[in-house]
Amino acid sequence: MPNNKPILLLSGGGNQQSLWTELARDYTLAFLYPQAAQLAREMGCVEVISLDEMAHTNDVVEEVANSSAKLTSQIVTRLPDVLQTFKSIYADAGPAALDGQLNNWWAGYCLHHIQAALTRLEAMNQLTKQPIPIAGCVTHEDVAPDTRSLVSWAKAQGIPTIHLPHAACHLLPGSGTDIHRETRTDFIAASGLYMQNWYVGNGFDRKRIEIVGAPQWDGLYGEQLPGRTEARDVLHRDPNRLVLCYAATWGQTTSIRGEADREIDDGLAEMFKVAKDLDADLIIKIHPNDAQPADQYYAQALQLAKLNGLVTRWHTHYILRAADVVIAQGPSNLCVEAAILGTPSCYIPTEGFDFANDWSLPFHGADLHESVTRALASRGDPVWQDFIGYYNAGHPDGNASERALNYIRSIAQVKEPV
Amino acid sequence: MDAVKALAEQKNWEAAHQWFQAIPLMHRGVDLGDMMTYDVLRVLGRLTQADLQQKETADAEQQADPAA
Repeated sequence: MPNNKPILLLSGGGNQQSLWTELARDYTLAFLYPQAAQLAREMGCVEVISLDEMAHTNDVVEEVANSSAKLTSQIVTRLPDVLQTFKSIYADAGPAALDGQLNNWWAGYCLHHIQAALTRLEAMNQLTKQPIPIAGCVTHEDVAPDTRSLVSWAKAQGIPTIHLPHAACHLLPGSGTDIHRETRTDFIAASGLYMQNWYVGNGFDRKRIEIVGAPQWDGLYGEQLPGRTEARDVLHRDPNRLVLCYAATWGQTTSIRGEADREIDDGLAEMFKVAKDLDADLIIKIHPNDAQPADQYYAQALQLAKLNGLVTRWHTHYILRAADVVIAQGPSNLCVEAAILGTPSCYIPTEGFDFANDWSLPFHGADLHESVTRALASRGDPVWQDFIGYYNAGHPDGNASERALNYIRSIAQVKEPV
Repeated sequence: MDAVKALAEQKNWEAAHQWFQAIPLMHRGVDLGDMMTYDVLRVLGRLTQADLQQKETADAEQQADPAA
């Protein structure tokens, strides 16, 4: 261990990145994501721990192998109980794979996940063997298994946990169960009033939520951003043509809401039709979380549609600056980012999700052509400023990182022994 | 959401949150069953979507050729 600064556990999500250099002044940073640890080192943070590196010691590997075998054997032994649980819930209407076929795959499926979980837990446990204390845990989400295990482990050790959500969730109240409504942390650093209200609406104590803004958007307020001309030049877009940006979504599959792949296919087809009607170029922005085959899927679709344009997963600032309007597949946080950069947006509605604001923007009618036309005419409308402010309390100063740092420091403190 | 889907969604939710209750899956104070909720929801969602699509296709074929 290189120093005596207390450890701060970090998931390593992209929305924490602007905090790392400052946090490294006070803490030894221990990252769940190995690529985040690597990036923090490249950014000049010296005291950095990668949990992934701690997971490959002989002790950890042996403990994981033994414990995962023991836990899985418990599942095998109790498989009739698992089957009975499924039967009591689904009666005879459940998926066939959960009924007569459960013996064929459930234990193996669990073993796979248990091994991964124990590797993380044992790596974190190695931290407790170090002579410096753990002051806190900051995560960008806590529903996926890796981040949930980070938070669950920290809570089991009595370490304060803070959720700095990487994005606002636009799931509507009353639209059914959803794992995104669950959070396990002690505190939330919310991006804006919307996010605070959303978590309170889902049962979280308002007093444990601090509105700090969205640190990942602070960079949108800098002076280093490309202008429209430069962005179009870089992306090889004609300065005089209409440019539409279609912001694609991704299938999270933790619920069966909506029409899944069919909805995405239909939305894209409608988008192509509008682009042709308006004789526009089309930039397809792939969601960063979408699987790799999406690149080929969208590139082929654009080619088949015989439209001018391009497909990319990255270069968000250039795309948003180059576009005349953004069209999102569902209510997307990219609409807020676009608005910060002065680009209007509209979106294709989807089941169970919507922006919660009462004002008129962004447009989302049944007729996409009309939505695009209205969005184009709304450039500069002051309502966009209200829209941004509701989702990002760091607007217009771009000071969310500073506010988030203060909040984290106020909570992640080492308690002196009584 | 239509009634069939809403019911399937609710059952998947219960299954993902309850399947492990008969088995103590604790390690270092962490409930591994709770930790796996996300993945179990995903697998149940995929299975349910496949079932619903299969039923939809069968219904469409039946409508097209009621004698079949």
